[in-house]
Amino acid sequence: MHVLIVEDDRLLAQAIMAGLVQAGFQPDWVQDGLAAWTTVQAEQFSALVLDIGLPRLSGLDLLRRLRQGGSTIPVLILTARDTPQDIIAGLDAGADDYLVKPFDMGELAARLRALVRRGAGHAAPILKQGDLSLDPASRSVMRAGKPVDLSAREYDLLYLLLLSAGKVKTRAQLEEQLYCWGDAVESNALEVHVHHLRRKLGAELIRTVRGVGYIIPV
Amino acid sequence: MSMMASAPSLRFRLVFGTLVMVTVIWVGVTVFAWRAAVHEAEELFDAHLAQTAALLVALSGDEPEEIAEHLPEHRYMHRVAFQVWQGPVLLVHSQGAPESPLALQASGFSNSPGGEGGWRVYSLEDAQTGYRVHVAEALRERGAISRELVWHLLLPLGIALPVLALALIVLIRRSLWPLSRLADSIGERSADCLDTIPMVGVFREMHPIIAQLNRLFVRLVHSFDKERRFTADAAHELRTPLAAIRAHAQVALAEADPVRRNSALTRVIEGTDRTTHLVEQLLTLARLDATQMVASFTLCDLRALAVEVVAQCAPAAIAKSIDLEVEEGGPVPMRGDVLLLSVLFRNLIDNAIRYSPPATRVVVALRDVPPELAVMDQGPGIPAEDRERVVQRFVRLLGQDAGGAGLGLSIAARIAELHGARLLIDARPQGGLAVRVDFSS
Repeated sequence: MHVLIVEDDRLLAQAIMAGLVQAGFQPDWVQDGLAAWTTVQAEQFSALVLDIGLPRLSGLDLLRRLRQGGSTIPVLILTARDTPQDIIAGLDAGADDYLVKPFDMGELAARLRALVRRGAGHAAPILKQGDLSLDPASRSVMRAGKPVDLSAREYDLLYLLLLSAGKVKTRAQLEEQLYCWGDAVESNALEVHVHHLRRKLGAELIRTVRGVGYIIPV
Repeated sequence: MSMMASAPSLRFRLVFGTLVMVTVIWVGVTVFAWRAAVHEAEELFDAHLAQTAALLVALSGDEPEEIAEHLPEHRYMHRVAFQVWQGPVLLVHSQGAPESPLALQASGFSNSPGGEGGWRVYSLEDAQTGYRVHVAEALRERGAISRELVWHLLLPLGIALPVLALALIVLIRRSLWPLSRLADSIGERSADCLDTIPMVGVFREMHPIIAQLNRLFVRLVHSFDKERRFTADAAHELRTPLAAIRAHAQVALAEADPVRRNSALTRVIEGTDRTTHLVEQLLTLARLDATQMVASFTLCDLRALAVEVVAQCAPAAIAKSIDLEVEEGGPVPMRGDVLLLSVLFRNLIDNAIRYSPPATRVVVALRDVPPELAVMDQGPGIPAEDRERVVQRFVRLLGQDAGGAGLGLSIAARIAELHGARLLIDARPQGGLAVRVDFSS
């Protein structure tokens, strides 16, 4: 899950990055509202962790701009402002969740998982497809009741495809949501991961839409 | 309460002052009137004596012995004595008159001893008959009359004063009623009610007091708001480093890789240091806010102070290969608080070093008349639109993530303010930032 952190405090941003990496996310970080705006325009993220007090463009202004532009990206506001008025203003500006600093790293990760799941239209915490089930909280995959051993990338790819099961994910979307900035991505890396998933989970699970991307049909 | 008891009372002062003044004036007027009345009475009595003497002379023409029968009766009559002499022979005398002559002289007014308290005598000699008439009045009786006059004059005062006092007390109490009502209305307020007092239905004399009170209320509201905002901002500012500490600690706990765990723990320490720094700055600001006038102003040399601070900051500059220097010049004398001025200079020089790229110059320049200190760097500067904002508390500008809390310039500005100085932030024409402390006022 590629997540964008918008936070002007370096030390805290580093902590969130490290914590989200531990929780299996691919986080990236920008320091101000304007940078976040241009970044979100250019790339796909699974979720946005947004501070309110930002230089150049405040978190709430950024959020309003995003929602006016039709963006449906799940947004979690992470801020030191804790009054009910602040929370109401944040949610009404288009945020999906609100967390007050200081916070628990595990809670932030869980809330992000819930946001991503809800954003893809799922209510159940465990994604199921045929005899396959994926639990985002434990990052475990079972096939016919037996655990399947996947690498982190394979798991992430499967998770993305399962989240939007029945819809085609383009190569670009998948790559943007799978990798952080600065990750060295081989041009055929995606094909390799798909190949491994087919070998471990059966060839029929993931279909290739030639020249476009991949789909897990419902 | 004891303080109130010993405090002078306006009501007492007004009543007492008015009564004393009325008494003094009244007594003065009484003395004047009494003296005039006594004088007039004496003239009258003397005229009376002279008239009586003339009457006696006329009456004593044929039968001096029968004179007494002709004399009129009056309540003052018994005080009058007379003698009719023919040569050395006392022909006739009134009841109270002595056997010896009442006066030595033959005619005119005289005072003579005898009787009780002496006599006032008018003497008249009839050339035809040779009768000499002395008509006398006891001086003591005259005194009694004048005492009676005084009494008559003072008696109304004795009655008028208590009545006046009572009237004054009632009037003053009624006039001061709005004051006590104002006191009650302020006393009944809850501690957080700082609404202004309406000016309607209030005596003109009370307007200045109410106006000043209202001004005070407005100032209090302003400073309370400022304090509340500051406390909220401070709590808010502390949350972010605390969140960072907590998150890094959680990461360290969950991390199996020793290198990454150590890196997270190092950041826990970094966050703690930053929080400590922030708390120290908050305390400094709180102390500066509480200060209105700095009592410890002494004559100091700004240049010596700047040299000292630059010496302390030099290691940080050398570590970044920044060329830090103080321009040459003479002493710059000024009255100020040495410790606070050092904090001010250090904050400015620290900022310059912190935000300057490596291998640049930071110059500290001083001017003596009027005193001014300038810190000039070759860093990125501050955009014109942000220069006013950057002095505000907790304001950090983009990319300036060098561990500051956005309080350094606020502290500097507050110290400058306490010294009647201004903090001026300008771009240098050759690039970089110039922060000047202008002590000219």
